[in-house]
Amino acid sequence: MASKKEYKKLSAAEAPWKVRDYSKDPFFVQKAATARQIIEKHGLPKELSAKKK
Amino acid sequence: MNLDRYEFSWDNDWLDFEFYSDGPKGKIKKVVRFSEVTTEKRTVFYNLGFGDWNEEEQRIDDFIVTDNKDAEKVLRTVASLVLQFTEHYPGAIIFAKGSSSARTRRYQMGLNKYWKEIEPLFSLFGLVEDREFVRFKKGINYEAFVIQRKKVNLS
Repeated sequence: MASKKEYKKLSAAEAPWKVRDYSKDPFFVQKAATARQIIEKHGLPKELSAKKK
Repeated sequence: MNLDRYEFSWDNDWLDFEFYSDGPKGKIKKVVRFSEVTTEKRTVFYNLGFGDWNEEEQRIDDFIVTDNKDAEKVLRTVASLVLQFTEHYPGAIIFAKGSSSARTRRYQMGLNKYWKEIEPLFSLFGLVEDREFVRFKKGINYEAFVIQRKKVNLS
């Protein structure tokens, strides 16, 4: 992690190289599905303010 | 603290990140993706996915053990990515679970080690005994984690 002095918010234009879109990669799709199952089973901590769609 | 981390890049949506691990096994492309997930109750959170890019098969290799002797540097890089992601998605709740229990333990070791730096910036919860999420405490084993940035401005 970083302290206030060490940290800089980056902008999209500063990206050193082009990054591909991994949204359809089976690994990430499967991980997201597993995460959904776990959160639907246990819920999120009440202390966190979750966004609704 | 040690700021040694890898340079990384990102896409325009701040959901996909890449960096290169550099060690005895050579340069290995690492990918981190924050996948938006909506539950049946319409709650939105992001899954933190992390793996090595397999150039030959053009996919993420999920169970490969790289052992490039840079685990600490890789963890610090992922921590920096979480900071950048939450700058752009300030209210986002992030879920993280390793592909194996050994990987989840590695995440936990990183959280334990940098807890002093994490605690002022993030609310962190761990899943215990497949039962419920509780506030993270050092020294307890968790099966998964959820984290949300506190309203602290670092810019």
